[in-house]
Amino acid sequence: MPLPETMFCAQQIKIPPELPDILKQFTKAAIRTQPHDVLQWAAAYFSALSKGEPLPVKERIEMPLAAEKTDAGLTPGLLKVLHKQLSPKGTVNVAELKEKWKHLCLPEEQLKAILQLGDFGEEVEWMKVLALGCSVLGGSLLSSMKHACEILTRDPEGGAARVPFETFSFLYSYLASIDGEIPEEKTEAFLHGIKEQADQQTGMVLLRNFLTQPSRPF
Amino acid sequence: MLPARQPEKEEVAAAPAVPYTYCSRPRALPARPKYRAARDAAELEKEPIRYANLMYDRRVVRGNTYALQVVPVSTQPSPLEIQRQREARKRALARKRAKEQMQPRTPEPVEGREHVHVQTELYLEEISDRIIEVDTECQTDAFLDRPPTPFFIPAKTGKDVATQIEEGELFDFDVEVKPILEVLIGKTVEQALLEVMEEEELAQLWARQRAYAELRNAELAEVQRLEEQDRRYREEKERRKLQHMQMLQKQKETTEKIAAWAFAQRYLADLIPSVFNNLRESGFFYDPIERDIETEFLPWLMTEVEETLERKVLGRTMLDSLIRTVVEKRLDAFSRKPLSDQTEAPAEESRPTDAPHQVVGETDAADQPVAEKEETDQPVPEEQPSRHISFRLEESDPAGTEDLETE
Repeated sequence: MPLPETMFCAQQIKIPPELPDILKQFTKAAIRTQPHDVLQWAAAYFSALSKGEPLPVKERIEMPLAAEKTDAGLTPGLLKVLHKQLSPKGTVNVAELKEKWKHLCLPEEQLKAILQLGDFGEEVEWMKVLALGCSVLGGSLLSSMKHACEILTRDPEGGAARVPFETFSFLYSYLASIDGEIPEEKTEAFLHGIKEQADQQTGMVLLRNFLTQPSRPF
Repeated sequence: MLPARQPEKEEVAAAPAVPYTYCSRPRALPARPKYRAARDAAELEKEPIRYANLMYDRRVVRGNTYALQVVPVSTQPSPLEIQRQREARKRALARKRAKEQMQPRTPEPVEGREHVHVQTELYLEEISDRIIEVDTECQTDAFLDRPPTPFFIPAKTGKDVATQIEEGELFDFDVEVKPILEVLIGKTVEQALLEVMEEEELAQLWARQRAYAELRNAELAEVQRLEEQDRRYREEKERRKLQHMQMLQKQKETTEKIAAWAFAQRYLADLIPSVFNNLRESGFFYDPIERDIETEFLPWLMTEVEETLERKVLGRTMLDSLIRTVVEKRLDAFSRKPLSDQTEAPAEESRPTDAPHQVVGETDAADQPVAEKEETDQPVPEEQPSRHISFRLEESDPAGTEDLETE
């Protein structure tokens, strides 16, 4: 390799001082995120890093569940990554969403399915997409709400995943409307019950508020 | 004192030899005699030497010496002493002046000039007579016998060969960089892995801890709620019990009250009739007319009747007295004729039983019925108490006379 100056010994090779750090961070991110396509993801990572956007990095390493042998699609961690990247915008362009989706090496069909569910146009509201993603993750309404709470909460992990009541009610009512099977009165009653509990907890809804209700039909 | 001591010292020294000898032996001080003995007297007579007690020695200072202040006998010097001091001072001054004058001096400055002390040097120098001396020495090198030997350079053997380094031969980047890269990348990956693992572990621990804390909070909340509930139940129970007790108490009181009321009623049922009976018997319920009649009319009637009767009685008494007087007069008249009045004497003798002897002494004319009445009144009350009422007869004279007339 032609070098600007003649070098005579190995000691003359100069390494940029930031390089080791960058490499380390990148490696750690890669290890945590475990992308299927490392190159694609690495490109996304560095472009986001250079632009100063939130990085497509999972915060916790997610052990793949035994049930998902094949390259499964959306996982809660990935959804969280997407949320991290896209929630500041509020309403996102579909193209951008697709791009981000691709960066995480997620299957496109899943995205298409989600978008079809929601009947979205060019601009989509991120919260709704999030809700739909949660519904993909969880089988029932309540489990999707659980996922949503865990993704949206600002509390540290493991603690009570608290979500403001407004957000919760919005997501719940949206999903209930999408679902179509649940009558509105029941939704109202459920939300009302939750609201009472939330009022005692400074307006925040806790996981245990709606999970420990076995009497509910759904 | 020492020479006198010597014989004693020797005496003591003659005793068993002591390993230590004094330069001057410690000795007890003898007492100082009060009066000075004559000089030759001490040699001539050898009195027994008396040793004094240190405590009673006048030469020893008593008390604390640190605060001992020597106070002069008088705080102010006496005028004699003052004068002496003054003279001493004067003498000293005079001596000083004389000394000064004796000293050689520089002549006084000429007119228009002035002597001034000047310092010529930069630094102060001590002027002294002694000259400063410094020793120095010098030594030459020893002479060398022979010059130094030159270096040994061996003769040249062998062949001269030259070589030239081309560019790129010394240093191959890829080869050289490999170990660096290996280290760099390897270490990076290894470090990254380690760090990720550590972070993961930590995060999991924290997550677990928080989850546990959540559960615990939930349980605590549940426990608190149950406790609250329990407390409320207990309080409710207590309140109900209290209420019931109060009710029972009230009931009891009510029954007691009723019983008491019934009993009292029954007990006092007779009370009213008996009371009324008693009152009626004691005369509280009176017919006012009847009472009026009883209280006023009847007494008045009685008094009237009494008056009437008294008047009657009075009339009778008057009549009696009249008859008596008449009879007495007749008796008198007839006593002069004693034979003819013997039949009327027993009638008169029966009369004086009515009237006392006094009447006999005060026989006035019957024309004055008032006076006689008075007289008769006086003896009458004395005789019979029923005639006390006759005092009233004075007032009701006209009525009495009228009654007399009517009768």
